[in-house]
Amino acid sequence: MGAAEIAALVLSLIGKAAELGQQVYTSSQADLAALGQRAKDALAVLSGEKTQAHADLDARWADLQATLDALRAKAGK
Amino acid sequence: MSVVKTGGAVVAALVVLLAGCATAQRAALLAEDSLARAATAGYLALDQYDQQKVAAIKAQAQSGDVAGAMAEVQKYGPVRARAIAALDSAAGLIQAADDARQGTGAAVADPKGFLDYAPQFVKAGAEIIAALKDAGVPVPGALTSALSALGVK
Repeated sequence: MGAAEIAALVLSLIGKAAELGQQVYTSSQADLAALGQRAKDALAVLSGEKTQAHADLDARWADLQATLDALRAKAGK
Repeated sequence: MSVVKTGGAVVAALVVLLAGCATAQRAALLAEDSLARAATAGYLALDQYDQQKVAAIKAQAQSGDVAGAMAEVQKYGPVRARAIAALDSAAGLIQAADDARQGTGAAVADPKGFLDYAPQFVKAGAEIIAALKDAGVPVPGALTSALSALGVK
């Protein structure tokens, strides 16, 4: 095999590999973008649930404390 | 032909490296997603359990057993607070991880910074389970299945 043939083969190989690399990269980026969006959506749901749960928990606990305070005050009379 | 072999090996290594980096980012994104779902299920479970628990304590107090109700509050209050803190901590962690990859979609702006969150996701998931169990909250299947994806049992 002559030098020119080897050079052509190397160029061909590099071209194929670059094409493969591009395919892998494009596919990976699309996959990561979809996963990133999914994680972002899950975070949005979590934020909403956190806000709601805190509102419920805080109100409930405050109501319980108020009830106990009132009952203790009544018992202390 | 050694030139051909070497060139091919270098290009193949670059392709593998590229795929490997994407795999690590993929795993971190999946972990973030899993922990977000687990924390959501955790808030729901805690809220539902707390509703029943607080109602029971209130009923106990209103029936005349104020001291018993107070004792329940002393016992339940700290474990309840720990469960809330575990969930809040996980939510904060997910938000921070999300912030670390802002601006470029899933193509992570700071890959190393983002990937550093993965082990913390596992730790936060384990704390959620432990704290909910400690508070007496029945751990929902949605939570355990989401956390099993993180490797948390």
